[in-house]
Amino acid sequence: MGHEPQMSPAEIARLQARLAELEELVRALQMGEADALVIDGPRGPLIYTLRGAEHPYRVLVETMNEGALTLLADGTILYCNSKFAEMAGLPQDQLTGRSLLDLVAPADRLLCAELLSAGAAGSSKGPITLQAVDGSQRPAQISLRALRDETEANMCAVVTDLSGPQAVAAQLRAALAEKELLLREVHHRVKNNLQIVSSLLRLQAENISDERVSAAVQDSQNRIRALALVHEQLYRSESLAHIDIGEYLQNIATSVWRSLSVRGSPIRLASEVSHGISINIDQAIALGLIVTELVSNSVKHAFPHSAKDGVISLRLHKEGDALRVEVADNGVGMPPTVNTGGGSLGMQLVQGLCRQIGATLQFGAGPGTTVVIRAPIGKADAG
Amino acid sequence: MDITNQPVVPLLRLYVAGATSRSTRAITTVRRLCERYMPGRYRLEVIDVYQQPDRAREDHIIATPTLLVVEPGPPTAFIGELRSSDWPRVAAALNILTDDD
Repeated sequence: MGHEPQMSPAEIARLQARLAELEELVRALQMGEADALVIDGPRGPLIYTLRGAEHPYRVLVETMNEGALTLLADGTILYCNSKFAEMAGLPQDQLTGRSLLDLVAPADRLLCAELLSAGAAGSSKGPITLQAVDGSQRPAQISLRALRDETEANMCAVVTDLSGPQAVAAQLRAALAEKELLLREVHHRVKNNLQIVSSLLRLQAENISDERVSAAVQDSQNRIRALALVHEQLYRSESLAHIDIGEYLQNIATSVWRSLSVRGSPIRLASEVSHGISINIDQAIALGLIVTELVSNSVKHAFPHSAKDGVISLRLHKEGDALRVEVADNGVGMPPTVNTGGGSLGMQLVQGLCRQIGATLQFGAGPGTTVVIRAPIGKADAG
Repeated sequence: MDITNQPVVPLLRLYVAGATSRSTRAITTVRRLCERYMPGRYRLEVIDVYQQPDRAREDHIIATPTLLVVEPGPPTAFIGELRSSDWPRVAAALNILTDDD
């Protein structure tokens, strides 16, 4: 070998000190004792905080109530948090290097291996039975996701313990969410079916030459549309048991008015409704049918001569614990027989429906027609 | 008893990064150490590398916390957490003879 350049003892001492310092640095970094690095950059020294970014996440992972792991594709555990160690029944440091498969009940190992390879390829999740070192088993849900960076771990996993009371609650919530989804789907289908019936009735009404029969069929069509609207609004809304009655009745009034008004008719519809009042579905359906009848009555009978300046109004608001719904028009007014029990099928329907939901029905003095319905607001329990 | 026969008053610099709990702990530890070995006869500068990054560069500081014994020389750096087991090494860098030895 060549000649080593001679170093003075002072230089050797300096290098030794420098080496010792670097060893100290490496040790401090390995032990996690350093909290920042000072790096010389082109525009002056830059300071990189070592714990600042990672520390909160680390605390989060260590304190969360779910098992968290990083794994190689074959299931070798590189890291796990204390919750997972608790599930496995082993100290954290004894889990590193073990295979996750060893901690899964034998019957579920094949399934777990499949989840692992699917997880390494992208993501996967499924139920597995964990088996602690003492042989005790517990149901769990494992979610795996591939890590796409330079770290040697190929995926990370979250393991939810399904054996405790919280797990039961989680299962119930999931079951409930599923049922709600089904119910929403049912409402959707009912609405579609009712819409088909409504369309058939419209076609039929158009083909009936007798005007009175045709009008009767059209009335039925409007009643069915009122029902369809309930279901439509329900599957679109967050709650499946309650409906925003203001929005619903406004939609119905508009729909009836539009279907019955002759094209170019000057009759206006004015509505003034409070939103955000929820009532149960039975009441909503009854009120929907009532408004259907009242609005169609006004459109058909209030303005027999001239509809000029004709206004039909819908008002809805809360009055104490009750709901006040008013349908009015500035037309010719009703014949006196109507409010004494006689009258059309429509008015009989209105009276019957009011009885059904415990609502009172009141006819205002003229001019025009004013009908006021006061209904108790039905809370929950709707079927 | 501590025996200190220093011709110069020792100078120490503690480099920390911000007012984290780790920084506070390092400052407290170094103060305790100084009061133990050379009560009232030392100079301690606490330097926040965020505030004075250039001084960190001048002293070749790579990581924080770092305790640098500047005087008496040669300068010696102690990186990371100072445990009581590290104290004799710091004392040696300060040329202090201690009872611990």
